[in-house]
Amino acid sequence: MTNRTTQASRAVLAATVLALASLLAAACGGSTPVETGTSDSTEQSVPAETDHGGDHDTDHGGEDNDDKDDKDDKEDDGDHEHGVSMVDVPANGAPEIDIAVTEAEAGFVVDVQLANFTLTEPDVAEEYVAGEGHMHVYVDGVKIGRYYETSIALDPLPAGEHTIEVEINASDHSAIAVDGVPIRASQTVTVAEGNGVEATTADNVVNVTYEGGEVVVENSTVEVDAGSVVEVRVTSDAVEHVHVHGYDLFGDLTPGNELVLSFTADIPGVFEVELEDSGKHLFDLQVR
Amino acid sequence: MSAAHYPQVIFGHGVGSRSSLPLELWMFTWGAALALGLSFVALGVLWNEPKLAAAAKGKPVAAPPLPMALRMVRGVGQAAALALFLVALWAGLFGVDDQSANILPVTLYVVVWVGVTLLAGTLGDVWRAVNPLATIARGASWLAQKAGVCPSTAPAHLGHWPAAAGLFVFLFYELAHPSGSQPRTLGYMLLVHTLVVIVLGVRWGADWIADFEPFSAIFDMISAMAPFGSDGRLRAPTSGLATMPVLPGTLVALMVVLGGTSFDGFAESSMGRSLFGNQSGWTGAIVLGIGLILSILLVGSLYGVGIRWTCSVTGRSPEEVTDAFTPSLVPIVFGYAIAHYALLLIDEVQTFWFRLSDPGGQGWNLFGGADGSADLTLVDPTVIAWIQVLAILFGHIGAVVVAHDRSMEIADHKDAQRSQYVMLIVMVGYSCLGLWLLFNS
Repeated sequence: MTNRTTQASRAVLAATVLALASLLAAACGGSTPVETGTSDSTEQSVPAETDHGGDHDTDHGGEDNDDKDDKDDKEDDGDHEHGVSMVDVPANGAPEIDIAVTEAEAGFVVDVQLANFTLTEPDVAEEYVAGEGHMHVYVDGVKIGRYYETSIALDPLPAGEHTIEVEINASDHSAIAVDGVPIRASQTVTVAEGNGVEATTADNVVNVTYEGGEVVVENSTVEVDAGSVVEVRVTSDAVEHVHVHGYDLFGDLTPGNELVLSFTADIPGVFEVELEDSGKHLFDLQVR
Repeated sequence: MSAAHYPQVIFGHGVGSRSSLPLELWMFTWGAALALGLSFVALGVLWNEPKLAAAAKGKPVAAPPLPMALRMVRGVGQAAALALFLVALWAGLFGVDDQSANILPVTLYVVVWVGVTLLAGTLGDVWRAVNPLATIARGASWLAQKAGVCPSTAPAHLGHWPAAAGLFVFLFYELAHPSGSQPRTLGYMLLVHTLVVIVLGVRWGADWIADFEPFSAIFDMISAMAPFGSDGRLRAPTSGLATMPVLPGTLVALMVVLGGTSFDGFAESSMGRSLFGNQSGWTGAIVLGIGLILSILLVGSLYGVGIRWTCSVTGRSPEEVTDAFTPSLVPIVFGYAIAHYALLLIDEVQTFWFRLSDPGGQGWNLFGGADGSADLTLVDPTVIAWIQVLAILFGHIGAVVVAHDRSMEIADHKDAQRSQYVMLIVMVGYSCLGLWLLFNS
């Protein structure tokens, strides 16, 4: 060993500074895309609500059994501030909506009557065009999705009274209103005891959406207690396969269908939940 | 639904179905506090002159039949290791290209890389005893001599540099390569490695393996800390490090492994994921590769600072200081490996056992275990957490003891005390980093 060590230690000192600097730089740079992803998703949805996963043009209905979300939404409902923004249109010639909800074999069907309003294709540009747009459906004040057809299928609901509300929205997702009152129609349905679906018994519900190659999930690490029941709900705009490592649970994703993986988290550890084909990481399940 | 239809891609190290739970805060803080506290206790109570070198010779284990029995077992071990090596290589080249059904990834990344590390640090140099690559090199050399080729001597000045380079390539495959956990990729890597061993075996015989071949070199270094020396002599744990030869590149090889383990721990954390996990394919591999290099430079530069400071305190040259202190890194490397891979080892050794029944994933069932899967509830997570903290702490204590002993050798008493402060800070830095990575995993 000659002066190699001296040179090496000098190089290594220089490298420390470099390494620390780049790690810091990467740390700052690395966090940006994550934030962007989150804000993107809320922009499409409603900023005030933390409704995760329901914001899709899929026909899943559903009970979001997160009590907090539920409450928030009901509060929002009261003062009619669902939209990112509201567009006031003159009363004369304003869009009109009326709905008829009927119980179907698997859930409900909402028949929508529209006047002065044209439904667009789902993939239309997100900009305001007068008299055009889509509908947002709320069940008990919780937004469950965007719809582009006048016949809307909803999943079964638990026993009891439920309010189904359909609001019309422009393509930029702003609510359309007359004199500050959004144009919407609602109907109350009653599900008899014994006919309703059981509210989910899961202790933990994780909602994930995969759209345009981007994974949107509330937390990158989901911490659950060992022995608790976990429900992973995934919607996707692409054909994919979900894999919960360790538990070796697999599920197929198809556009427009919600995948529900329900299991008891009885193996401790940190498990990766990912999409098998693209290798996209959805979240880490931490069972303690 | 069968797992075989889905190629498993795990972020970070190539195999395994889960990672260990992050350490609880109290374990992390107590571990770090103990590392610091024990270091200063060690300063006060440890001996004032080098003692380990004398202890390293060890005592022969009383009964003479034991070494003889060991030599017999050795022959069996060599045959078994060679057979397993060939089966794994064959499975990689011709088996199903699915890492969850093929025996090669789990053999290479868990049984050899982690399992042999554990054996080397506790039982001594079992790898040297059964090394299938050495067997192959000896065979090649023997055949070449039969054919009239004259072997030459391997260039000694390269020291551990070839091993360091090889270890880096191996870690790149494990931690960064886009298909580094795919049996075929690994099969070709192993085939090239074997061909190199054969060609060099023809040229140089088999003696170069211990220094040049990456696995052999690192296991050889780690085995120096084991309480069993060569020929089964019993010695104080870590005392063997006092007489461990430090060659050119030894420090770098250890740093590559330490940096690699740290990087694996970091890349699994949520911070690491957001830094390195956004890219896939070769872009991702390059990002991960750069992260791996930075990690090695980071742990290396911490040591570099320690060495420089020690030089200025003792007035010794950097070469002397490096030679003296390099062996003290071995327990830290060992502790890191055990702490980070304890759970992986427990899970995947079971998987390995089941894969033995069907090494290529072609529907065989040689030993009736082909359909088995690892029992993930075998060890309580609390036990794993304790293993992790204790591995880091024992590694730390081992390193402090060896560094103390070495400092007595290169400096007179007063300087030795001062030079130790520096190395102590470096060691505490490594141990806290190790615990922090476990806390953030």
